[in-house]
Amino acid sequence: MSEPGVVPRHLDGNAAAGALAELFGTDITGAMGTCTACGNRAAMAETHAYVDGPGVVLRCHACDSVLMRWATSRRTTWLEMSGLRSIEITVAP
Amino acid sequence: MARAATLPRLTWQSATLTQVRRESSTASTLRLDVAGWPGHRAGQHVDVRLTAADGYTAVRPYSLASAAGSGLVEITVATTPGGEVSTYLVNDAVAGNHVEVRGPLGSWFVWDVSDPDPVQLVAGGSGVVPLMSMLRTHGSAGHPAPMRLLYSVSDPEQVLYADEVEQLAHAATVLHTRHSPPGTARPPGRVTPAEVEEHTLPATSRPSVFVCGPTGFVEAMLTVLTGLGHDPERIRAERYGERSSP
Ligand SMILES: Cc1cc2nc3c(=O)[nH]c(=O)nc-3n(C[C@H](O)[C@H](O)[C@H](O)COP(=O)(O)OP(=O)(O)OC[C@H]3O[C@@H](n4cnc5c(N)ncnc54)[C@H](O)[C@@H]3O)c2cc1C
Ligand SMILES: [Zn+2]
Repeated sequence: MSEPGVVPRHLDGNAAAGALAELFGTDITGAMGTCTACGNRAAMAETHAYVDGPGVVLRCHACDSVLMRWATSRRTTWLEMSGLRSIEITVAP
Repeated sequence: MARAATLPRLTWQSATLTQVRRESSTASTLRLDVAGWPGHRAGQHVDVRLTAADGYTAVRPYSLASAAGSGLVEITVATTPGGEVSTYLVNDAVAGNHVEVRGPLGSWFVWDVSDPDPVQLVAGGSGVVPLMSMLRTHGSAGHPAPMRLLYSVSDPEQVLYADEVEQLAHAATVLHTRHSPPGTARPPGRVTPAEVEEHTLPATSRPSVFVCGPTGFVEAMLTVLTGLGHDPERIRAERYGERSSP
């Protein structure tokens, strides 16, 4: 059970599906990402997502390291993903 | 051009509300007409974008409630008190209004009829919406494997799809956290681990498990389910945040 009194603020990668699709051109919530920091491999949907700041931050659900973060203005997208060692995107046949 | 039909729609598209149905005292189902809708999978959602007269926009994800293959695009929105988008969609939107949508979205929190395994669904509050899409898809396909629902909801007035949930009979269990219906023995309260065990398919039957609802509810259920021996690899979760309707 989660700690009483502690309100978890995160969503998960599902909530970022639309924004991720805009970056990658396809839905990647089912893609498997590997965390640079701890090596955990999980679906992008399983990451913890923080969407209430100026951009989006996805963190590893195992070790809480930042995997990806990005912010978009009208003309520019800034994307940082050094916390994500690799991502395997399988396109439906 | 069969291939083009499977390409995801990333662009915002105009959608017309064609029907608004009251679902509970605080929730409505909105039917959308989206030109060229490619169909969706049970569990997927759309992003809805509202634009104010001054150009200010707000985007929120809403799960699709309608069955996969039905051709219908329906979302069910429950109001978050003071919430920007949900209060507009539930209290002010009427048939004929336009919104923008992007989707269908999601390739992981989805259930397809091709999955032969038993399925356990665990819903907290409005988290029942994508699970209802799975139940409807399962029902209309006459799928042979069992699909069960455990639905935690604050009080009887907030139950979404009450008639359909009732028709599921013993395939569904509704537990109330704040007020129980008159005549029920169980006092209102959070779902306990013992209740999860009692009202869900056993881990030994190796069901696919889908959990959806407010983040705190989802985290608690993930702990309980793995504690009951469910393989974490077979559990898929979707978190609605803490300000979604509990
Ligand atoms: C994948 C997913 C599916 C959902 N499906 C449903 C559903 O079927 N029915 C339903 O009633 N609710 C659903 N929700 C919750 C819904 O998206 C809204 O969070 C809720 O309606 C409150 O929005 P609001 O504007 O009324 O409230 P606000 O108070 O204005 O916002 C509530 C919360 O939403 C967060 N938020 C802001 N922008 C975004 C964004 N782009 N993406 C995600 N969260 C954001 C804010 O941080 C805030 O905590 C879903 C959430 C997710 C993540
Ligand atoms: Zn990690």
